[in-house]
Amino acid sequence: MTALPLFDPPLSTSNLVQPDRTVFLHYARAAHDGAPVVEWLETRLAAFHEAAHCIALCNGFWGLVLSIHALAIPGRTDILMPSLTYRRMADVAAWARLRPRFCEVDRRTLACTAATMQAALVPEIGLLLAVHPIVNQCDVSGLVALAAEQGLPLLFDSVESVFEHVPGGKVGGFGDAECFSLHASKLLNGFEGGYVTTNDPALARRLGTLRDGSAADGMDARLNRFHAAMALASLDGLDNQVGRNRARYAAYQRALAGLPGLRLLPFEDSPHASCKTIVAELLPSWPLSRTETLARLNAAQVLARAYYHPPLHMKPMAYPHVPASLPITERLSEAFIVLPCGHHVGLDDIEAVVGLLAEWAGSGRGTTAWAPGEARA
Amino acid sequence: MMAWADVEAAFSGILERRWYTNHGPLAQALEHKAAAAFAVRHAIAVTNPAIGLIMLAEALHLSGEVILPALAPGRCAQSLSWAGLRPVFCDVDPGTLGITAEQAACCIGPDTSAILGIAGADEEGLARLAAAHGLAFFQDGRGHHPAPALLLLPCHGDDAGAACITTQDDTLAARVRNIRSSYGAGSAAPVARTANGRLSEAQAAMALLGLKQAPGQACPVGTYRAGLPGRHVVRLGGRAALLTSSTGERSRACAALVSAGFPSDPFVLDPRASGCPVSVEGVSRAVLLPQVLEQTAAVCAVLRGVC
Repeated sequence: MTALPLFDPPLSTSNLVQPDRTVFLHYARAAHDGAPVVEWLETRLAAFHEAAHCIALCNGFWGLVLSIHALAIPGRTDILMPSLTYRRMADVAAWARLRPRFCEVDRRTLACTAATMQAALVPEIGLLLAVHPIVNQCDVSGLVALAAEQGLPLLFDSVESVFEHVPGGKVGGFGDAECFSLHASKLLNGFEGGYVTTNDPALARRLGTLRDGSAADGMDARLNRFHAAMALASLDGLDNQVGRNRARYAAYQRALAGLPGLRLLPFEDSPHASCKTIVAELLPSWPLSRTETLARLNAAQVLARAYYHPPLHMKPMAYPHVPASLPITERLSEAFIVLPCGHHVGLDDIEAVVGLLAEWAGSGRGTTAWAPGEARA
Repeated sequence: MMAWADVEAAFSGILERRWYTNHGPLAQALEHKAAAAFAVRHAIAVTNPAIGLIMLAEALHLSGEVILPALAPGRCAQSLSWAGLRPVFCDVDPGTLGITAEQAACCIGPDTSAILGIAGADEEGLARLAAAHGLAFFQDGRGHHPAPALLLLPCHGDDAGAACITTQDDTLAARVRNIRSSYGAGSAAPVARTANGRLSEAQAAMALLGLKQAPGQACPVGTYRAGLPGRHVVRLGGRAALLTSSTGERSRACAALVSAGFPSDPFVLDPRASGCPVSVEGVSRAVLLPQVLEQTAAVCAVLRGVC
């Protein structure tokens, strides 16, 4: 007899937030009628991030490539970035014709810091690419000071920090520029899309001409108008979304409290925490390997996944790069999992998922209502 | 112009399915329909033509120089450069504004790895030339040769356009899909670097509606030729263009279009192609024509009065 999965549909880690249908159709109708919805979105996002300029692009990937291309010091060959990050980030560097050079992260924040970047500095580096981790933010002021001290341009990948503040202000106005994504899995769902914020008017103009393909070294990477409409509707519903995210996070806090061997990565206690993505650490006392834990969850159609694994420097690369040995990153990349979250994960789902984990942990808190192999209504 | 009711219905379906991107059901349907419409084994939908051509050049494993017509769409040379290649501009035939095999042969050098044709060029001759020199041959725009090609798709709401890559080659298709980031679509294939060239469900919905309205109709050259008998209509930069007899006639045609409310944007020649005299002269006499099929009759009426 074939066992049925526990969760149907599967529980995902993608946000897939659905904005209000009427609001989306209102913006989509405007886009259909030729209204400048992309410019509306750029204006709204610049204000939202308290940045002077916003340039919308077809997606975050090419937003990163074009920003790196615009910012890197000509003649320098390398870009410095953390290895514990977005799985395609080294490819991003390769498209920008730079060698990825990797630095360590702080074991507490999982983010690069001024110290970890400073330790990896060499004269070949033409750009610092700092990346906010999935939970909380990197040390922005330290990194800004390092970039200024070294005379290096600084780009933030802020894809995971759309909603957040850091000491000094809203994420979006730091470094030379900050990149964001409007992919459906992100906080703002624009189907696909991306944007860059900056306070530098010359950089904004340059990025605009690169994005429009009007610069000789540019490419056409403009944002689809209906994608802008979706992002505008997502932006309108953002506060409500964050409220739901906080409820999910609180549910995980309650359910995981006292579960041995598993530590919820805490969001900073701040009204600016989006609480979008839920990350947990498997401590040495957790009875299963991460591979086994994920396999069991996935078998139950809980699509939990490893946190940035493998790290970039351990992946094969067919383009020029700088080999690295990063023991902290390597250890951290084995320790964390991303748990189900997003628009379609209910509070009862969270209770059920943690029930499975508790059962495997042998805590006696396991679910009796549902078990793997049994379909859930 | 698409009817709002059709657009609204398409978006309502997407919201109900909650599948927004990552090779959703509409993107899959689009690929099947495009493959059938263009009579090819694989049609791989991509977010826009510029990024699509970057991906295609990358998947073809090219290196060094690629020969292309001086009057190819401006994005072509940009895409080749982003793929790490050096574009070599080939001057065009004064009658067709396309390149011939003889002209392309003069551009072949020791670093040449491919020839990029554009629709309307001497496809068979270019393909034979490429084969004779062990070069790859691929196309920007719909032609008759089965070479890998970047084809434009109907793209309501999309300033950058939408596109698909067509090929009969299973291995090349797998590489393109892996470069695009396809979330399980097709088999895994080793590629040097990936990108994001995904087409969203919203884009796919608009392209499907567009294909329904005008299957395979991306560049209305034939319609303009029929509507402007005795005039010289050519393809220029992937678009339909009227080739006037003088710069003076060109100015009159542009002024008439503008006064009738139609756009009259110029073709921008890549500065690196300025050493191609026939191309430079051709551009000075060419009027790019609106691509919206519904406007062609009115545009022809305007132009018949001045040319």
